[in-house]
Amino acid sequence: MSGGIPRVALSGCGAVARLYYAPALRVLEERGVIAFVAAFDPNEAAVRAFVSGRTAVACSSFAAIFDHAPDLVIVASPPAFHREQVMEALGRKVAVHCEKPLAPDMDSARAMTSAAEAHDRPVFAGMIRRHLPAARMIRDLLGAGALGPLTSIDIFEGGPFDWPIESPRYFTAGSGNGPLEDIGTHCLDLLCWWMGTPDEIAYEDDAMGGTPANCAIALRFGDCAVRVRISRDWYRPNRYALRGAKGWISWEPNDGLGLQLGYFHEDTGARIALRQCTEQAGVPRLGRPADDFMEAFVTQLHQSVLGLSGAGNAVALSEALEPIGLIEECRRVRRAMVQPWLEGARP
Amino acid sequence: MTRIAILGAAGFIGNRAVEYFHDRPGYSVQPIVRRLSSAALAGRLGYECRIADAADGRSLQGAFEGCDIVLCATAGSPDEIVGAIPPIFQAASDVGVKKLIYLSSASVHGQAPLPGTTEDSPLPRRHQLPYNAAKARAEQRLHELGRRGSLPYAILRPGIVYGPRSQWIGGFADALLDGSAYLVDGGQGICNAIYVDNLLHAVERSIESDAGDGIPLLVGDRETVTWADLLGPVARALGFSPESLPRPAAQDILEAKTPVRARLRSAAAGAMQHLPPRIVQTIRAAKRAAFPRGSARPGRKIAFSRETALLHSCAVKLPSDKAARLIGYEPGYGFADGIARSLAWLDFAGYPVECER
Repeated sequence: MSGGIPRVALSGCGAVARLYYAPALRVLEERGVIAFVAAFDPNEAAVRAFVSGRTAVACSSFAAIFDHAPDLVIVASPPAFHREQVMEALGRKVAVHCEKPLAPDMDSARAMTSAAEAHDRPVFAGMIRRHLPAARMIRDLLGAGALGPLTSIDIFEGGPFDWPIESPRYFTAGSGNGPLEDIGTHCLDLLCWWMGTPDEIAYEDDAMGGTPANCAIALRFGDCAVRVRISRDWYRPNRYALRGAKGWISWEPNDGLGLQLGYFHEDTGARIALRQCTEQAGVPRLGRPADDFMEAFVTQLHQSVLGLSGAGNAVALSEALEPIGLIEECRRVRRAMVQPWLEGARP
Repeated sequence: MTRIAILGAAGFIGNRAVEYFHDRPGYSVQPIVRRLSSAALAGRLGYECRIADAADGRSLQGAFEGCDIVLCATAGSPDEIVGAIPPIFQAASDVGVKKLIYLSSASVHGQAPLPGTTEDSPLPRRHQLPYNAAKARAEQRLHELGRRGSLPYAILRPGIVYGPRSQWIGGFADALLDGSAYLVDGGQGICNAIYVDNLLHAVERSIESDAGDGIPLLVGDRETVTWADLLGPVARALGFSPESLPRPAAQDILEAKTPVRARLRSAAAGAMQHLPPRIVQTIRAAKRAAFPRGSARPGRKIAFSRETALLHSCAVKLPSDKAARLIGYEPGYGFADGIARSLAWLDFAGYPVECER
């Protein structure tokens, strides 16, 4: 590290890099936490635009970013390239922060984990939702048994798809770009992070030769039945509704700062607005609002940087394997979703 | 094999058209959307959408290349509706398309047409709504271009097209859940409904028969139904009693002056159409975050719309006889079946469908 400041490079200058990594890198540079040194994308115009106005260099190949001696490579390229790029970085003794979905299958994930061990370099997982204050609070509440034993969780996420994709082949069959791999990764990761490994899983989607727009996952964690519905088709309120024997939590996943909590034996519930904990004269109190989504994104990347020296609470790849395995299982048990308006449609 | 280009494939009718023709022997489908992200629904079927803007002749030419039929199922502002006709017609002509099918609207006769209205009735000189005027002008432009060119074209005038993903179904369900639903005059006006698959059957007949070329054709379901017949089942499926919904009188709404706020809102909606898509998406996302659908806005007063009042005041069942005679239109879906399929979609889409319809 030059002058103690970690040098960071980025591969993949698509939408997630433009919308989230670019501002996070800028913030961390301004705070003197990192030096952003190089970026690569096979689309030359995209990489040039990404580094425009920065000191980072636009590279014409993934290998070329290593000429700039990065300490950490952010892999934000399409998931199909994750394994190859992560392995190459590790082989060059460089740590990696890999955007979700981390790997297309468990074989790739295991290969990446083994390579991280063999080369003694960490791979951090870009699982942003684990850094959202509300998701962390829910984990704490569940861990403390605040709702009693959980009985059900109902999740709806999505709405008409408006992610700024760049290739007409995005939706072709087997692209790995479906709602399961996209938002489903987040849902499954949070569920496993909150509750452990599910006992059962069932999956269905509406693909008919291409990439699904709708999917439904049913899981069972002990006595708790979980239903996840993800849509790229039609908007319904995005919500996680958790019910326990004693009470309930309702959370809108795009709201990193707030959740609602109620108890069945009480007529009133609470709308919780999360704020930073602080202390004044030895008395705990609340400070400024907790991190919003973008701030959480900055925090996530910062934690990966701290992880280079063994500090921080970045999510290691080995701690985020479960959703990859579950997605693989979903593909294995996949059933076609019933689309009733198509049934018996007159020829 | 007839290759059909579906322009507006991400919309309600366009998407169902993709599904419908995907399953038809003798047809192959080319979905066309305005943005790549709009290709998600066609992507289920493995289609690679072509990208084109209905106002951009060059992009349309590329999108229509190799297609025999163009189905125009685009939506848009009144200006966009009219402005799209010349580039679509020209592009289709230039690449050798054999027929253009234009989805117009029964609203060219007004939301509440006069008794005895048929396709041959003169259209109102002054329309009460800009959408109606735009559809009438679009038809007129198409006739002008058709007279000068050699591209055969068909014009269909459906009424209230309902079905899976229709705003009449999903939009009304949203209104019920956020407390803004109402039935003007109790929904006793006639609803010139057509189940989306019946409309697509009319499209198919227009492709296969030349007898209706250049002649606007009204198409609708066989049955005469009221607005309460259409919307009541949606309410009941979600656990609402249609009788308990607000029932403002059409006369009161139509005689009320448009409040300044509503006029400003309408002007703002117009201005949105001229903003770059990313900015529009950002504004919409902010609105969604502030007022998530399904959440009632405290102290909110229901805004009764003039368009709804006019629609719900309709006293006339528009005929489909001419379409039957000229192109063999014969709606295969009965109203009850269409409604049952629409409600089944509501359930699929994640609405809290809770009781027998």
